[in-house]
Amino acid sequence: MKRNLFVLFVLSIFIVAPSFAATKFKDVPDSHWASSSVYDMVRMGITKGYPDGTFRGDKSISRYETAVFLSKLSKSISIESVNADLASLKSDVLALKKQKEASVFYGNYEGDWKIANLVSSIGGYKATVSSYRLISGVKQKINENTDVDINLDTEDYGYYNDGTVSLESLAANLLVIDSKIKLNLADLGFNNPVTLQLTYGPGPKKRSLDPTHAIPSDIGYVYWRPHTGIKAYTNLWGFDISGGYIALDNNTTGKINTSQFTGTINYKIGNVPWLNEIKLDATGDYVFTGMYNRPDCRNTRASLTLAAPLGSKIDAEGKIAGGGSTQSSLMVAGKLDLKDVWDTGTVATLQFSKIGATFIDPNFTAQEFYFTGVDPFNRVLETGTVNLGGKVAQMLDPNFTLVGKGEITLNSNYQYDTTKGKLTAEGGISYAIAPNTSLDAMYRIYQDKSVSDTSDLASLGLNYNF
Amino acid sequence: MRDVPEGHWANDAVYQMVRLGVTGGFPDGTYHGDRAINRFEISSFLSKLNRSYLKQSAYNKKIVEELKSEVALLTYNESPQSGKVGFFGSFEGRFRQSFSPSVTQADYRLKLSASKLIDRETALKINLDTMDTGYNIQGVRDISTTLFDAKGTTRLWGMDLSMVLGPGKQLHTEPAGMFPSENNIYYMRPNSALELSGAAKGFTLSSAFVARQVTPSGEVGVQELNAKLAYVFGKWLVYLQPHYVFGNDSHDYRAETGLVFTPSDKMMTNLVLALGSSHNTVSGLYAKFEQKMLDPRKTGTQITLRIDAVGSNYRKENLDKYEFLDVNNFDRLFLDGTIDVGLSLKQKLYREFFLEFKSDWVTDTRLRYGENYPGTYLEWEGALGYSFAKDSNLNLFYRSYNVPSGIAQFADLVPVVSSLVGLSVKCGF
Repeated sequence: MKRNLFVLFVLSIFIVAPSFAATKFKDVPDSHWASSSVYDMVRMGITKGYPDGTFRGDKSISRYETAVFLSKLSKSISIESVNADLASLKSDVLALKKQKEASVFYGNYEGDWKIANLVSSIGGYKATVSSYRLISGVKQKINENTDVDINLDTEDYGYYNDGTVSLESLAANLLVIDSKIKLNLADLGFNNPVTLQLTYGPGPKKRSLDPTHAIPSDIGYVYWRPHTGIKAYTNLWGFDISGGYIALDNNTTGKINTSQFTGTINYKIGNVPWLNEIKLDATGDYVFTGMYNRPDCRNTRASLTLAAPLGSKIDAEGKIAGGGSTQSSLMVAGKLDLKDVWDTGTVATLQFSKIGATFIDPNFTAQEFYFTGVDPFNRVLETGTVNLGGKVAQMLDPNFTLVGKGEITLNSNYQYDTTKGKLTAEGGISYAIAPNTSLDAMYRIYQDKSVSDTSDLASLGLNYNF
Repeated sequence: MRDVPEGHWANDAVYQMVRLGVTGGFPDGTYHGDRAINRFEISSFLSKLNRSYLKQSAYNKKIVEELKSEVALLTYNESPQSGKVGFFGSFEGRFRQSFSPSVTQADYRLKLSASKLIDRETALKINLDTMDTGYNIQGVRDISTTLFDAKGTTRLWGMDLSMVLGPGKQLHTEPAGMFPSENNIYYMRPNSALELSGAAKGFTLSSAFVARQVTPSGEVGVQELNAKLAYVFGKWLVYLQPHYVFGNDSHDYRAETGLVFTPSDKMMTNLVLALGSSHNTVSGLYAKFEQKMLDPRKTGTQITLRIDAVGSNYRKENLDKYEFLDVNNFDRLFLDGTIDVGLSLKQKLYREFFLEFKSDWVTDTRLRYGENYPGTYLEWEGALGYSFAKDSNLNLFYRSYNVPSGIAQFADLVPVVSSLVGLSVKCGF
């Protein structure tokens, strides 16, 4: 072993020695302006000069020599490559990103102070109300095919509770758990993945009372929460189809007395003259009580929605829906979205609806209320009414936006009368304090013809998205 | 440079050389690009180019090193051992239908845990368990006293100290007219307890104070002091655990001894013999045999057989009547004076599909079962499952609950036979 090492040592002297021998060109004295550069070249192994020990620096260089020099230089520049490090960094960062994305915490906080009946005195109630609503959740990606979303919504429990729910249970009223499982059913002829969605939720909740007695304009406000149900959806032959079972009234015991089967077909028609694309959406619903041996009560519903973009800045949508076979169980609605059409920073939505008196089956008024949709104030539309509403937002500068909302409810003969007549108008200003955070001030007037009462409301609110 | 105009074909190359510090042209502000170059000049160019390259390379390396340490720090911060809050849990949702009477029902149960490592030896874990409040509740369960529990662990004088705050087991009673097989089941939640344990040379000695039957006001109804001495030798573990239980006007001594044999990670045998409140008779004894086989022959089969025999005077009325025992496959307590034969079986099928079966056959202490023996029952459930992720599956199940006497546990009047079908989803995250 020792002997071998000795041999190696001797050999290495012979191999390494020549490179230690300092080359000195006869014609390049140390004082020459280019001497350090010339010896740099020697060290890099690019040149050794001429065999006679000269460098002949003043001689012109040919293109061949240039090519040899450059090629040797490129070999000599042994930059320690950072490529491997960069690749491992990239995979580390991607792993971090994936981990971050696997679990997303999100939410919205809305807190406001309301002064009710600032000007109006009819009704006699004046009140200052402060309340909040927090929506917050975690979206967890379990694997490629599975997502779970656990969501909490305090609805009106943040000091504005109307007391209609006796059991203020966290799990039964405030939490929603939504899981989506993508199944690959190619064996069964489904070329696209079939998504199975299981949702546990309390369903939409309508404010039916005003706990303060001073803000009647909030009655009918809907907290949109998903129903408990199972839904499957996929794309088949170009159609987006979905089918599901919904528990319309799971109360605190989880017992389902009213159920709904629902099916939707959605089709996009391309290359339509002038319109480019039309979206057609057909939905059928079957609502019933009693699965086997209960007194039965059933209702078949259907709706057809046609949506089309009119150019890139206008969306138009028309809908016809029926909750029964008579004319009074029909509903027609239309909506127009104007997305800054004149480049003036104005965004507006106009909506119209006419809802037949029996559009909601009288047996299911509590369960089917949300089928009519909502007005610009997020209040559920009533049966036997015509409603016209709109929202407009005008941007003043990047931080300030003027907002206005209005709606008028008429009876089915288009009369503003004491049976159904209601009018709400609201104007305000929104100030963006920070990204995703705004301070909103607004003033609202509300007239309810049926009690011939007018109330008003001023409010200051903070809205924060995270 | 005056003689290298903007549009010159070599303009870019010339200024690139200037930027790299290879050349500055002639002092008079010209480049003389058409002039022949001599060997001195090119030596100077190449040597300067090399230097600029080395400088850039060193700079790149520095940046990469900086990035590397930043990423390593981020990766560490996101990892569980960093002590940042870890967040995990599970959720189970069910849709169920029984036939006679016909009831459709949906409910869910969510468990969420957040854990935080405060330092190397101190950790805190907070759990939320919604139990039956996800729609299948009859009364009100308070969030803070019933839904939450917490456990803190630390080391003290070389021993592990843990403190648990929990509501203890929670009884579920089924709303009238719903599923008899779910009435009087228990959710096993931790008891508030303080435990100190230390280990040396295969021996583990632990001692605990356990609060049982705590009222919402925090008053402890029954208190327990216990000690446990366990010894591990090879694949065997033996333990002896005496308890002293005391309530307002009574007290009780109990003891339990057990043997756990784990020949491989796929087999486990557990034997327990315990002496309860009636010290002099057989009726004060409890015996348990449990055999677990986790796919020992790689056929995708998992079997657990468990037999629990409880003497009729094992526990004292008004003291620890419903304590000191686990629940069976259907979350029912092993009551005094019964023998429970429990079986659970899981068989892997094609791809991600599997079959699951579980049953409990409950008789009196002489293995008598039938209409003359109230409290005896046979409950079983079969399921077809599909596993879509780790700890996550979809199950289609059928359950049958047979109580020949019509009188179930806790003198509950139930139909002789009741059954239900259901679909459930379980997700672990």
